[in-house]
Amino acid sequence: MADYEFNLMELLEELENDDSWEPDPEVRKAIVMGLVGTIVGRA
Amino acid sequence: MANGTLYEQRVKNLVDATSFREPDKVPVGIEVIWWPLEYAGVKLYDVVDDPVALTKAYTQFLDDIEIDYYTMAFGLAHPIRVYDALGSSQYRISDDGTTVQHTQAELDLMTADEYDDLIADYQGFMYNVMPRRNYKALQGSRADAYAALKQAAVALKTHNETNRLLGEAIAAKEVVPLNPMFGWPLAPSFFAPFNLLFDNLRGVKDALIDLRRRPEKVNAVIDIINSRQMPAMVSPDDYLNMSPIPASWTIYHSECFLNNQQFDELFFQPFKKIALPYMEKGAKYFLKGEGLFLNTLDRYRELPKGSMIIILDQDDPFEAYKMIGDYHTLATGINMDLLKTGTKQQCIDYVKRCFDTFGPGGGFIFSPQKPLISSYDVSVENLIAVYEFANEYGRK
Repeated sequence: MADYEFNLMELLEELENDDSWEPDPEVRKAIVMGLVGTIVGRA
Repeated sequence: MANGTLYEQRVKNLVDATSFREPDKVPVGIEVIWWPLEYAGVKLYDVVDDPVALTKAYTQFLDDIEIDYYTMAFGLAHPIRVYDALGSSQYRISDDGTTVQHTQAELDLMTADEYDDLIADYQGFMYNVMPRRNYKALQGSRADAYAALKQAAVALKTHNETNRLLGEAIAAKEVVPLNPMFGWPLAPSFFAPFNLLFDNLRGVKDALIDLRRRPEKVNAVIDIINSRQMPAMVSPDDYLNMSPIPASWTIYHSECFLNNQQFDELFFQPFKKIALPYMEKGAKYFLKGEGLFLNTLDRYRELPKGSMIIILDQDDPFEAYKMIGDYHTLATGINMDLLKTGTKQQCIDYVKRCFDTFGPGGGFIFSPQKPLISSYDVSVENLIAVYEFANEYGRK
């Protein structure tokens, strides 16, 4: 597999910990989970 | 969830009808996707960023069309702004301004040579190879990708808020979700793992070719997907007490293209393994059928009587009724071609024939054979006439 500049899983983890777009950690977790479903499908 | 008398009556009628007891009223249902916005004269792109305005428009049809239940989810199926933020055209708003279309042909899919990469590192392939191919925003720098993901997350928040408001609005109307996709503990739903290859990774044509040319690779991927399944949220023993409507769901995607042996291996046997323990405790499974699939119906006699609620797609319901109508519930009653092109009287005559044939003894709930997607799907005049008739004729 190619050597990528970033790992999407790490980016999504960072997004889950980033309170600049949503203060509630539970909401962030649910949204990121939804993003995974949208982007990745069955992870 | 509403607890009013009307809601309770509707639940009772659904449980009675799907348990082969004649209900006080044959439940009348619908599955809608984008059509409600067309009914309200609103374009998706005008309201997609405004959850309140979208909810108001989307639920307007409920003022004119009475329904007892809905199937699948009541809300927006695809977060179109998420795809926009990530630079993907796989879902986009059609020229009518409202209908969202899926364009699998434009996807850069997995090649046959890449099965080994997928099998060797499933998670890495799913997270880092496929998304980069089909989401332009993930092809650039880390900073650009992160900014796009953040924008997509904000868009998804708006999308989820819209669906939350839609859920509240439909609950306020005391309409029953037949097979809730969220909201309370469920018996596990079932989506055949092969459909991941069919829908997302290899595409319709190549996934079906792979079944013949490289079945060992297909099976290896299915084994990986199965090994990653989340455990069921509720045990069969606890399930019935926790679910007001004892229904979960399954769906056909590739299934109508499979031969009988493939269907058994890829869908029916794994479905039975998951669903049967819950069915033995009283669960019912809503099958959202797609395509032509009369050849698959005989299998369902292996399951407990009354444990399936089957919505037909292109098949003739009268033929389906001969095969399985004494054993499982059919959700049918009007086909979309007739709703679109027939006269009002032809539509009502057809609906009456369905009620007269399928209704006695229970095992019948009324539903169009397809979801309402775009304004071109139905004649509104016919639709309103049909629902007025069905709501009246199905009462004892």
